[in-house]
Amino acid sequence: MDNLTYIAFIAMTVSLGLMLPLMEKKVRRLVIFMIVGMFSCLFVSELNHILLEAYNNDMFYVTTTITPVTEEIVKALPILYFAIVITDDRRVLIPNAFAVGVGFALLENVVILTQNVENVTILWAFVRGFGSGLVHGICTVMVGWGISYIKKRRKFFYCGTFALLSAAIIYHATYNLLVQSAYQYVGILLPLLTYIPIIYFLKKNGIKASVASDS
Amino acid sequence: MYLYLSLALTIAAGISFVYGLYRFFREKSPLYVRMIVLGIGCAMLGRLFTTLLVLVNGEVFEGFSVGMLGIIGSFLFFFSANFGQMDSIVDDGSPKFRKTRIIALAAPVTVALIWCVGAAIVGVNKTMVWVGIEMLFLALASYYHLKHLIIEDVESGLISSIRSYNLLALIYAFLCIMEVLLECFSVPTFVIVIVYILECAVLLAFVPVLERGIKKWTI
Amino acid sequence: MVIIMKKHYKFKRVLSVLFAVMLIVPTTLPVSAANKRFITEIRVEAGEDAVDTLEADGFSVTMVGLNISSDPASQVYLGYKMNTGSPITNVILSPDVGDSCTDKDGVSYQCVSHVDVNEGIGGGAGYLYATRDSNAGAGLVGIDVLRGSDGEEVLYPITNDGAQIVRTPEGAPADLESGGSGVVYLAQIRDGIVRPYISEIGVITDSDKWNAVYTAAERGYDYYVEGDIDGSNDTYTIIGFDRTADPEQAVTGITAVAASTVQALEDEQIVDAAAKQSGNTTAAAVTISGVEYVRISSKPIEAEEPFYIYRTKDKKGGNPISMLYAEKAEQEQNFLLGTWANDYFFSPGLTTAYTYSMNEDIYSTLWEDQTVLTKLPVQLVDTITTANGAVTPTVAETVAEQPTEAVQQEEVREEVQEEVPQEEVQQEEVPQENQEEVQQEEVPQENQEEVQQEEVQQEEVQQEEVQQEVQEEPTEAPPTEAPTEAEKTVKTINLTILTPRDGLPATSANLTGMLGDPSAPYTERTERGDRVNKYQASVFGRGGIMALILGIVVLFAAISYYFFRKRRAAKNDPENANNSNKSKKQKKSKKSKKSKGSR
Repeated sequence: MDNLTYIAFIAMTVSLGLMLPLMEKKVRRLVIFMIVGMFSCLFVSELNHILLEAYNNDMFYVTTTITPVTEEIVKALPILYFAIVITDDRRVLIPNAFAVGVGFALLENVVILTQNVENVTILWAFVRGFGSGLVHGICTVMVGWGISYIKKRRKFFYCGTFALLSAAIIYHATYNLLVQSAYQYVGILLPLLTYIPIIYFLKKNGIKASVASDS
Repeated sequence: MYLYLSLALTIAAGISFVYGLYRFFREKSPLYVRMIVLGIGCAMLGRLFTTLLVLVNGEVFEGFSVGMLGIIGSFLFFFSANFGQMDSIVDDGSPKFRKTRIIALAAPVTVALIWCVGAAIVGVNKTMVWVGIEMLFLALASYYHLKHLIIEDVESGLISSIRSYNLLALIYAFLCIMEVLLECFSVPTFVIVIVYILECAVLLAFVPVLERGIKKWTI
Repeated sequence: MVIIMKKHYKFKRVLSVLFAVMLIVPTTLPVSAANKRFITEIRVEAGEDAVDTLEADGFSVTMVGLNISSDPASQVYLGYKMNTGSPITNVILSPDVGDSCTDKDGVSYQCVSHVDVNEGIGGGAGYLYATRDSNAGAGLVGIDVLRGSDGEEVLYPITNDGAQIVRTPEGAPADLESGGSGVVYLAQIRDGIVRPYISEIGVITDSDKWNAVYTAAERGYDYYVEGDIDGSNDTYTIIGFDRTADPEQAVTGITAVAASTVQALEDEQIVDAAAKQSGNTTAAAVTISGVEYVRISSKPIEAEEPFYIYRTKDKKGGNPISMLYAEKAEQEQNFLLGTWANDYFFSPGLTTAYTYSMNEDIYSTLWEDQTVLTKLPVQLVDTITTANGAVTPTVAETVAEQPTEAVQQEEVREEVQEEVPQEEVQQEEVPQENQEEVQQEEVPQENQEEVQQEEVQQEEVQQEEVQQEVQEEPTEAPPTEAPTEAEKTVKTINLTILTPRDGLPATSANLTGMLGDPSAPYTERTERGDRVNKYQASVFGRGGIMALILGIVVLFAAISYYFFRKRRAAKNDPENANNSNKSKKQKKSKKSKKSKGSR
């Protein structure tokens, strides 16, 4: 039972990995980032466990103060690496950042499912799918946006990325805080309320336009 | 009471942020003002989290709290805007501005002194350490605010048009410091309320003042 | 054509939404708090096919049978249905078969099924009866079979977790295995199981623990404090108690008064001749610092210094009591709330979704209080100081004999040996300010004169009349000298009480200035390691280090690859590497010139 997380990770990763040679470059990159996101989740889960024990199993404190920081930093690392080594083109970076977030959320849902297998319902599945998937995706996209300035405007990159990382951490912590309180449903709706305007904005203006305005 | 004060700050920052989004993100506008608006947004997020935490938990955690990152992030945005965008325009590194640079150091030194006094009185506990980290970013931002407040303007008049913004930003930094300091001493409640009200006023005034300032840029 | 297609598309959309709603609603319905389900039907079946018969008729069956027997033919099973209709509120076991019966409180019951719960194993017959009368209690939300065989841990007729054992019509705990060697109880779980406060306390002394617990159950207690509080090897004394969700009904203070002190108090009472003759002068109530404590033990509890236990529900006595422990504690201790209440009640046969809600209820009830619990030692009062400094009771006025009905109400849970009705002692002030030291109170001169006048008047009244009078105002103790060190002895007995505490010091300063309100309850972080929230966007592993090691390895590999690539690029094309550095610098200076010019 303790290895269920690893089993799920291997099962999903192997299946996805087998698909990779058959995909186009763009799609392949997205799937790779999804797998990277799942691995980040695996890594962070063990890190969070250590931190939880260090803070006397105070779940509320850890989930609203510590884990948002660790998770956002770990999720940002693959994007940062990609931006430094491969390309910092925002058109490539943003979707990949979202893929990392979604992959993270995917394995996270599986882990929580295995830990609460008796108490889950279809409603839970919807809530987790929309809730944590969007939260992780949006947070990673926020950080990815700042990282995209790494070569264009160095000064903005350092400060802006840290500031955006702070914003992502706060957003994540706010979600965790709300879903563990009496205002659970507000927390569950929060990602949707954020996602819809962003998508509307992006669809209306287009990512190309926003790239052009900054360059 | 602190729940309501925090809520008021959140609302003020929220209004300012939304107005800034409406004013500067719909059309093309300088990256400088966009960064300041994002800074206000960051402050809003931090305040929002703190408000919710007080609402749910009854009080803020001792030591590090995620709400602190909102303030750190906002001052980092302000710092980035001034240092990354404006400073290279107005200060070419020549000895001409050495005096200005030295005088501007008064801001971060004051911030550091205030922290030292607070730490001497309260003692260096977990919370004071994190206050110190926050004040570090505050000091960085306030250096450039003070510098751009007193520095000689360039021909195009860029800096003089946003001096009122820099003054407001300095006042905001000072009020943030006061907010923290007042916890170290037992002061009457009305003093705390006044500080919070002033902070709300400053937050609300940021974007209109900035708007008025950058209008002159296009002239 | 376009319009038709758009309509078709809209129709499809509506259909898919409806389908999603149909899918979600039935699966989430059981978890919805708005549609609470109770036990609405019960049935008993015997024999090998008992379970199949019950399940075929739509009943949920308890995990274990009502008979401890390996013979399938001797099995008797209890089935129940849960629904939103009129709930069953109580179940009793009667030896008589019939269609209905009435219990000692006059509540009428209907027979569940004419099946003897001891069918197949012999022994006394037992038939289950159920009622939907709301006077019998809150609706049942679960029922559990508790079995104890010989050689296993002793099964007591009080579960101490909020469940109530099924009783006989006379009120005694019903053993469904009267014919066998073991013991079987049925535990009923009621709605509103979360009752954080203690509503009443009683003292039960018997020969051993099992008998003491049984007696407590007979008297109607659903909880008892583990541990013997008397010092005798021949008897076992426990505290039985009941719970309530209403803090207004809660017990707020417990104290113990030494038997010698009680005797001294009683000796000093001015009582009428008839009361003196009858010997009916026991101190059924004492007033300590303006708070009246009522006695709950009719006989002194044996100890190094025998004592009586008194309790109060007066708010001045303190905060509502949440728990009692049989342990000696010398000092106050503060600790986190709710850890004891996190032991959720689980019953086989209940859906796990329900037990999860149960955990949430218990947790959120105490979490919303957001208080620290204080463990207080129960003090033993063994000295009181009088005007002349001697260790005697303070000036007492008259003994107000309590009306019999009121006495019986207070004494309902006392031991049977007490025959004579209790009298209420004239309220006196025992000059004990707090639990830590004995202090004297000063009385103004005017009050002292009034007291003396009243004394004379009341003595005259007592001599003339035989009828009992109303209680009088408590009198202040005459001014006394400060107690000496010897008199300030603070003793504790083997009892501690747990009570929520408020008004703790303000929290320390924090960054955003959100200073906690000093008058608000102090909030501590509780241990929530076992409670996992399903919706939070944070994941926790099981303590494996493989992922950590792999992650660190991957990180190092990535960093190494980056530097390797950089070095290789520089090696392959050193000219380009230099040029690229130069061009970077050129770009920088161009940019700064450009930006100066454009603005």
